[in-house]
Amino acid sequence: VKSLLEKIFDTIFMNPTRFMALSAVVLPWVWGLASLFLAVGLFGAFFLVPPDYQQGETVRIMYIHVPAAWLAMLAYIVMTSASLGVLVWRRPLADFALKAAAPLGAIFTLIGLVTGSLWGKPMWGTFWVWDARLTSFLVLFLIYQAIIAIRQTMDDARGARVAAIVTLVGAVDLPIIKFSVDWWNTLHQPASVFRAGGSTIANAMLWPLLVMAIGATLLFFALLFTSLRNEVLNNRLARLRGQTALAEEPEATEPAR
Amino acid sequence: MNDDAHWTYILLAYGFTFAIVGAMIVRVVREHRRLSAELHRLDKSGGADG
Repeated sequence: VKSLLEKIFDTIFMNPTRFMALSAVVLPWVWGLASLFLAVGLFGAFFLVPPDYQQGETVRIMYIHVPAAWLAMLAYIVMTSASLGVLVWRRPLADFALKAAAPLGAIFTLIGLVTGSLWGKPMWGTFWVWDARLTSFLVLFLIYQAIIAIRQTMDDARGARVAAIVTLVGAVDLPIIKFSVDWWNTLHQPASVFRAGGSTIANAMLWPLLVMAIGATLLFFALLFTSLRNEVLNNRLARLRGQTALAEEPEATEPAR
Repeated sequence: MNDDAHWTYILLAYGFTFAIVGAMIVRVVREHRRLSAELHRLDKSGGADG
């Protein structure tokens, strides 16, 4: 298993040519499976799940809010791994992965925040409270914005290292988000799916949530790998343009020699 | 709160999500097509020059 993991890591972060060839084969399947899982999950969420005995129809917001919140954190875990790739192993694709995952993570965090507010208003009577879970999740969104801003203003090796360091420092927010509902009294409910003692959600409501979570995760990886391919293509284009410029340059620089 | 009000929040949540995820998919895929086409064009022109 370790050697397989190393192979996968090296395929993704070490060799852009191999990554491009492999992703070209795998990506259509990932897009297709993501569409299938999301279609089944949405059908279940809207037509098969009964209204909750307390929340009524509003419980249907859970099927986008929870997967979005999970992906917001998964994207950050991917970025933390990529940061180690930048700082420790110096993999060429690690910085591309960091750059590609940041906007995706920010978007899923925003979706988590907005759908959470729209779920909170009818259930709690308010769109927002400064409780530990909501505030630490908002901080995650701000960390994403900071990383995106760093990579946009410093598009070089130094920018890559700074973004990687900020990402590693920001990773401290992940356990705070996860355990905030246990450490403090929050309006947000405690964990109800992945918890000791099993899920507290009825099976009729749980399965579409898991299907949506798988579909959303596949969609995230489809977007991540397509964005990663964009970064590789951008890099190749920049090199090609540089070669073209160099090929045109000698005539002008010849007299100086 | 009645069910109609609940559905307003549900539709707003799903509408926002579909709009933002849809825009992200379109942006990433269009960018990929543009870059692939440009690379293909540059490769071809480089080959023709060579």
